[in-house]
Amino acid sequence: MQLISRILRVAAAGGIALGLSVTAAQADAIEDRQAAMKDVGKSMKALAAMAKGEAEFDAAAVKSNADNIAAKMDAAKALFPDGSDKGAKETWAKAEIWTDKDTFLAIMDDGIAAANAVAAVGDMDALRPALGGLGGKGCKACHEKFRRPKE
Amino acid sequence: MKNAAWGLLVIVLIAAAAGLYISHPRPLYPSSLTAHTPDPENGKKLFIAGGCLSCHKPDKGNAAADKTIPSGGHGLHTPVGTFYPPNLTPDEKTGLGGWSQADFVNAMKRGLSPAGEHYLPAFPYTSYAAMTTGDIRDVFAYLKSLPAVASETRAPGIPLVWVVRRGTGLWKAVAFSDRTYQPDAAKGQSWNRGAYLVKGPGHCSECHTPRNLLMMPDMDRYLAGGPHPEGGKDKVPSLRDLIGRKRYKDGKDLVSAFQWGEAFGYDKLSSGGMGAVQENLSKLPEGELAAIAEYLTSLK
Repeated sequence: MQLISRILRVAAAGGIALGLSVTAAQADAIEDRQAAMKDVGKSMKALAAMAKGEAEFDAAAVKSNADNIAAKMDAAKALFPDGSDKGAKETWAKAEIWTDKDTFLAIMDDGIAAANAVAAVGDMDALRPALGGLGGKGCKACHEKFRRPKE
Repeated sequence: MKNAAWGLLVIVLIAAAAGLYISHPRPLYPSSLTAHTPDPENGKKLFIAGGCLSCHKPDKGNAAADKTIPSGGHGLHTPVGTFYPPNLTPDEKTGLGGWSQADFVNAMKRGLSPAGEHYLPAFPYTSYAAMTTGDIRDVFAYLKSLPAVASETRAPGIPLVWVVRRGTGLWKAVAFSDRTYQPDAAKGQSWNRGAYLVKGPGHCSECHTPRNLLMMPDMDRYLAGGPHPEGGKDKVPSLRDLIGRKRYKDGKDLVSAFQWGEAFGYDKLSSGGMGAVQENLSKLPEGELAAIAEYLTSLK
C-alpha cells in the first residue's frame, strides 16, 4: 500500500512539474513570437522609410532587413504550438490558427517567399511593388484572418 | 376586477395602436427631389468611401461572379442573424433596375425599401442619412451605370423578421435622424469634408462608437471604440487621440497608412474587418484621405 501511494505521489509531482513546464513553454512561445513579430515590424519600418523616400535607398540594407523578416517569420512558424492560444501574456492570436493550421502555415510560407523577393530588389522602382507583395500576401493576409483587432 | 381587466385591455390596445403608428414607415415624397444633374464619377468615389462593395459583394463560392461588382450574395454574420446584402446592379428583376431615384434616396436617407418596409440597420443608413441628397443621387447614377447582373437576393436568416422590422420602426423614432451633415463654420473646409466622409458615407461610427442599452450610439464616447459587430469578445479600437496615443505620428502618417497599409508596415489596419476598409480607402484621392486624417486626428 505504502509503495502504491508513493508511486502515486511521485507521479502526481511529476505531472505537476510537467504541467508547469508546458505552461512555461507556452508563455515563452507567446513572448517569443511577439518579439519575432516586433522585429519583423522594425525591419518593415526601415524598408518603408526607403520606399517613402524618407531614407536613402540602400540595396544592402534592403537585403539585410528582408532576410531578417524571412528568418523571423520562419522561426515564428514553430512558435504557435498547440495550447499556446492563451497564456500568462495576452495574445491576439485567433483560435483559427490552430483549427486551420495548414492555411496559417501556407500564408507564412507565402510571406517568406515574398520577403525573399524583397531581398533580391536592386533598385528603388522595384521596392514598392515588392513591399506590396510582402505586406499583402504575408502580413495582411495573415493578420486579416488570424489576428484579433488590438485595442 | 372586471373593470380592471377592461382598463388593462384598453391600455394594451392604445399602446399597440401607438406602436403601430410610431413604427409606421414614412417615405419622402418623390416630388421633394429638386432638379439634379447626376455625376456618376462622384458617385463612384462615394461608393468606394462607403465601402459598399465590401458587404454587397458576391459570395466567395460564386467563382463565376465579377468580384468588383456589387451583385450581392455574400453573407454578413451578426449576433441577430445572417444578412444577405442585396444586388445593387441595375438588373430589372433582382437588382435596382426597377428603382426610382426617390426609392434610392428613401433607402439611404430614411432606411425604407421601395415597398415601404423598414430596413434593419445592419444596412448603415443611420450614417448614410447624413449625406446630401445630391451625393446619394450620384451614387445611384453610378450604380445604374454598372452592368446588370441577375442575382437573386436571399432573405435574411432572422427569426420573426416582420416584427423585427416594426421594432426597427419604433427604434428609429428615438434613435434615428435623417439630418444632413451640417458644416462647422469654426472649422476649415478640409476638416468639414473629413467629418462628412467619416460620419456619412464612411460610416466609421457604426462600429467605432459604443452603443447604449437602446442600441443608440453613445455620443459621449463618439469613436471611442466598442464591441465588435460580429459579436464575441473582440473590440473595435478607439479613433480618438490617435497622435497622443502614438498610434500615428501625424495626419500625413495616417494618410500613408490608408494608402499603403501593411506594404509600409502599418499593421493596425488589417484585423477585424479593417483590411477591406483600408483597401477601399487606398483607392480614394489623396485630398479626401488628407481630409479624413485632418478630422480624425483633431479628435482628442
